[in-house]
Parts: sequence; structure tokens; C-alpha cells
Amino acid sequence: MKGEVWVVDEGASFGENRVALELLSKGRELARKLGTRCCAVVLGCDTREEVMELIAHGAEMVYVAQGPHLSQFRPRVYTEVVCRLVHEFQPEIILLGATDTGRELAARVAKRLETGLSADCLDLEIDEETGNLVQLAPAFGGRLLAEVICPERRPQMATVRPGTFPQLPYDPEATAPVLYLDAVDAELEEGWEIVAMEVAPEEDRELESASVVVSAGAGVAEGGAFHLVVELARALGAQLGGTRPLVQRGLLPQERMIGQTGRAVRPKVLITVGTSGALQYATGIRGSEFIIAIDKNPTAPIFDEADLGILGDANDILPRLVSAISSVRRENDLEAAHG
Amino acid sequence: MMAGEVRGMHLALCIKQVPQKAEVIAEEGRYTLARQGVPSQINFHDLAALEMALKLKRGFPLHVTVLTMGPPSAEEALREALALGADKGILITHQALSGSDTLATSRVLAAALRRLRPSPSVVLFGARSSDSDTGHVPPQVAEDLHLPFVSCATNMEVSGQELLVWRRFGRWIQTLRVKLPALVSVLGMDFKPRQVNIREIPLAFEEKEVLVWGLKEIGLKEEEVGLQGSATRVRRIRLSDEKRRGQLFKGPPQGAVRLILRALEDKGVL
Amino acid sequence: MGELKMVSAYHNYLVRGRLQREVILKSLGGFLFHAHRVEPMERVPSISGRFFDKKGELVLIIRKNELVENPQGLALIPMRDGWSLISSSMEAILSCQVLDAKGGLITILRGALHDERGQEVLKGGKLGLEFPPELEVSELVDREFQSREAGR
Repeated sequence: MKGEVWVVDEGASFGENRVALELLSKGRELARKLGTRCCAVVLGCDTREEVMELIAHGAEMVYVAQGPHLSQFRPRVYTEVVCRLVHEFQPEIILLGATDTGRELAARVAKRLETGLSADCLDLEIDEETGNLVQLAPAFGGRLLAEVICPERRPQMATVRPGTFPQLPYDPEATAPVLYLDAVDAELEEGWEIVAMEVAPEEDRELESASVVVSAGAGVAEGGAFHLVVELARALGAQLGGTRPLVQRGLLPQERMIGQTGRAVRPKVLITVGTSGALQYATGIRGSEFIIAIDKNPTAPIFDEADLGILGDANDILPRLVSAISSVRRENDLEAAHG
Repeated sequence: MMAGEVRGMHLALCIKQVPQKAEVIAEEGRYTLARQGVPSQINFHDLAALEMALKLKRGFPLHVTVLTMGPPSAEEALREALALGADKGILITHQALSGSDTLATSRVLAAALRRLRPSPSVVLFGARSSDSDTGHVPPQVAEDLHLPFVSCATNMEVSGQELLVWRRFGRWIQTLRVKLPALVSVLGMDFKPRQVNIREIPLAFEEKEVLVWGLKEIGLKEEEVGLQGSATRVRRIRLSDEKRRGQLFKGPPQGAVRLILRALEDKGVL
Repeated sequence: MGELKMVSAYHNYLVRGRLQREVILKSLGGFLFHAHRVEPMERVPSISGRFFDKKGELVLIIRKNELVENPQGLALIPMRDGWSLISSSMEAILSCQVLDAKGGLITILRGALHDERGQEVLKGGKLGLEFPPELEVSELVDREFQSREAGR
């Protein structure tokens, strides 16, 4: 069907952080406005579980390209498959997750099709008058929001970071047609081969999906309070993150860096300590439900980002906080044992 | 097209200067960065890419050409790169280039790279930029030039006619063997930018060359670049309205702890 | 361009490596096989059909897992994750294995069924069911798609 809204699942967007499922919720909203349907495009080797979950989370149709030649992300092959699909079915909009594979695939497809692509969109809407997709993308490291449009070329393409949109609830009653595509005989060489591969430390995924995060900035490192922050994270069972200066000092690995060029966190609660609130960092934390900021400096911009600001010295506050939390935890455990 | 000799392998690095503080000026419906009078800085990941090029250079004869697309002031970023150790700079500048989205930018950079003689064996980019970051330009240039492309490289070595690249991709750490010529984008991980050696600065300005190329030199027309050559445009810019500004507590630590505990309990964390 | 199937969020059968929520096969001479849709409240698939043996003789008429006519004494034995249709000689004619698939279920059918001529018309293995496509009675899943395909 021409003019559909597509969500492309290239494997990483499903397996790693489920962003394809999140995109379906926004995709359906856009599709309703355009009077069309929201479809998923799946590329992979064994796609059974993905296809069912995509349908359960809102896909109204699924295009599946499957086969052993698609078992790993091979950019040229994947790009070829997606472009052929686009030529055949002419979607209006294509959304992809801003994962490493998603970004590369989106960029290549957009270039091949000579169409527009915006990145890391924070929101998407349909312009009532023109029917164009309005893509809200961060600009200038996040201080500004740009409304980007692709007025003439089609499809209109956008990538979205994991955690930006919610998932629709699982619907076991959902059913959808699935088109299993004939194999594309694309014997495309990438010009490279992988000679070794290992899984990176679990840490980064934990941070992005954590419900409680404790984050430290340069203020903590300088004041020698980093170990207190670590204790706080442990006391709360929280994931630990921080700013670039901490990574540069070797206190945290790169995977735990929060910010525009690092991780974006979306916890229920974020406690940010000694992070002055530079823009680069702020963009990484804005998805948090509730932000508690502790800082010595009353004019620190971080207080603009906080729901609860605490002006004070981490060295004074954190030890007390840790011991208070530990006693509450002990009480809760006792209650649970006797309750 | 290039004056001077290139010894050994030729590596081209595309950098982007990133204004530290930027003003946005509305120009009759064209919202673009106003870069005048703003101190520029080479984007972090581009510096990491330059560092990688300079590391390769220590091993064998390697000529490093740095390119950038921007206004005339972008020459500063090139001089900085030259002072850090690059050999030659090329500034691609023209009025018509402003307003270029990644589609147009990749077209321009690809056109410029095609003009390099000798043809570069390795083309490097920083994986992302911190200003209107998309990370899309490198793969799009690779598509334009039909070069093998590897993103998010954290380290690399030349091995005969190939490049050995270590990279971080999704949840994987991969080692790849890449056929040359190739395009690689570099992710600066655990990387400390080197400082410019004061003694290198006069060298950068007096002995090393910066060529200035316009549309004619890269062989593109006005319709193919800038706003005209772009598929997307910014229709409006607004301030991020994400200011929470909740309560700011200034009292003693015990009071702070109580407030924090209450918030944690409210949110179901405790 | 491809093969269109109707797929459910909750439960599907694996057919030649692809999912579909229901399988209906019919031959002119009387063979019938119907793997029913499994609704969200259910966990075990039910089948109906008219099966024959290698000699072309009627072996079973089954209606939603109820053995209605059973001249050769087959038994439907429940298993831990499905069931098995066993012959009197302890051979598994047809068995199903229900796998958990992240919130949904996928059934893999194994075994072999024959039609009224004694020909093997349905075989099940690792990639799911295989059968001659002409036997399948498929749902009209997407009228728009069908008419588009017809218009090629």
C-alpha cells in the first residue's frame, strides 16, 4: 500500500533495546493522522519472535526479509533490501531506532534514495496543513529544538533514540498480515570482514534501562567524594553514571558516560551529584521522571533541570543519606519478614 | 589539483568546526547557525580521528590532508589541525553551501574527496559531532564514493593493503579487516586530546598550505548544494522548554536527607 | 514479491520457517487438515481433520482434538508442552510442541500425514510444516494486496 508509515527493525532495534516496539506507538499515531497504517519492516535470519511481538505492540502489517544472508547486519545488503522495498511500496514515512545499526542503515538508505533524514528526534508530528512530518530534533547540543521538515522528497526519514517514546501495551488479540519477501539475490560485498567479535560489558544496557540512576560530575571528583557516590548507588541498588570529566579521569568507563554523545537515561529517579549541568550532560538526563540534584553552587544550571534541588556539599550530605537509606531498607526487610 | 608532493600513503580527514557558543539568526525563513565572531573548536571525535591518523603516521610515510566545509573562519580549525601534525588543509567554502543538510554536505565532501590527488587510501571522520549531531555524514559520503565503510572505530592499524580496525558497534566489540581504499568514522573513547605544541604554530601558518576550494574546484552546481541541494530544512527553531526548576533546598544536611528520602519513598524506590 | 500470511500476536504455527495463525489443507478426495487458531485463553492447539494411512485407508476423523472415528485405535497423548497422536504400534503420527516466544506461543508440528491415495501430503520438522501449497485454503488476508497482486 502506498503512503504507509514504516518502522524498520534491523535486529539491533529489537534485540538490544526494543526501540522498534517504542516506535510503533508513535508510528500508529502518525498513521492515524495520515489515514494509513503503521507497518514494521523486519530484516534478519530467524524473525519469528520479533514478528509476533511487533504485531502485539501495534504493527498493522509486517514486511519480512529473512534468510541466512541477513543474519548479521551487513550494511550494503540491508540497504539494498530496504531500498527495493521502498521502490516497491513507496512509504510516506520511515522511522528507525538511533542504534549504531539503525543510524548507519538510515543514513545509507536516505542517501541512496536522495531523501531527507533527521536524527535523534525527540518528537514527531503531522502538520495539519501540509501533511508533512514535522521532526523535532535537538540542535546546539540540546539547548534548542529544531523543527525539521522534508517538504518534497519521499519517504521522510527519522531516527529516534531508545527511550524517547513509550511502548503500546502488549495486545494478545492483535493480528496482522505478514508479507514474507522473496529473497533478494544481492551478492554485495561490504569490503570488510569481521575477524573477531565479543560482547561488550553489560554495563551500558543496564544504565539505559535502569529505574534508579546515581550520577557524578567533576564537582564530586575534585572534592574526593566519588566513593560516597558509589556507596549511594550501592545502597539504592542504582546504576552508576557520570560526566565526561570522570571518564577522562579514569573513574568511570566510557559506557557509563551520560550526555549528548554518551548514554541517555530514563530512570524513575535520578540523583545527580556535583554535575554543574552543562548542556551536553543535561540532554542525557532529561528523560528522567524525577531528578534530584545536589550541588555546592547555587547558580549551577543543573538546578534548572531538577525537580528537587539540594544546595550543599556532597561530603556532608551523602554519608547521612546512605545511612538513612540503609536503615529504611533494614526496616523494610524486617517488615517483609514478619508481615 | 594538489600542489606539493605526497609521500607514502595518503589519508584524508574531514573535520567539522563546532562553535563553542552559537547565536541563531533568522534570515527570512532560513534558520542556520550564525558563525561569525565565535571561537571555534575542532569537534571532539574529529580530534580523536586526527590522533589516530597521527599515530599511523608514526609508523610509516603518511600524508594527512584535512578537509573542512564551512565559512572562511573555518580555516582556523584547519590551522589547528596543521599545528597538531596534519600536512595540508583544504577549506571548502562558498556562499551557496550554507544551509546544507547531511545529504548536501555528503555530496560536497564526496566531490572534494574525489578531487584529491593522489586518491586517498583512507578517509577518516569523527563518528559524531556535538553540534546538530547526526553521525550521518560519514556513511553518506561512503555511499557517494562507493567505499567500504566502518563506523565507530576505536583503534586501527595498517596491514599491507588492508586496514585492521577495532570498533565498538552496538553491544559488540569487533575487529575487522578492511580493504583499502576505505572510509572509517572514529569514536573517541577514553581519549585525551593532545595539546598544540607552541613551536608548531608558526609552521602551521607559514609553511603548511591551506587550499581554498569553491564550487568550481569540486565540480558542483549551486542547485546541488546548500539549501537548494538539501532534502530537509529547518522550518523553525524554538528554545528547549525543558526547565523543571523544582524546589531548591538550602538548609542543613539532615533536612536535605529527609526531603530526599521522602521523594524516594513517593517514587516507590524505597 | 512474496508470500502473505495472517499472523497473530498470541499464537502461530511454524510453516516452512514462516508464521501463520491457522492452517487449513483440503484435497478433492477427502483429506482434510485444520490446525485451529489458538485464542489468548488457550495454550494447546487443537486440530481437526480426516487422515489416511500409507495404503490410503481412513485412519482418523478428529474434531478439535476429539477422536470421532478411530478405526485403527490411535491415541492422543498429552505431553508436557503439547500432545502426540500415537498409533497402536507406538508410532507418533503427529505431535505438536508449543514453544514460548516472548509473550506469545509458537507451535511446531512434527510427523507425517497421508491422503486418500496413500501419498504423504504433510510433513513436519524443525522448520515447521511442509505441504504442497495447492492444498492450502488460505484466508483472504488483505483484499487490497490480493487485488494488487492480481493486477500485475
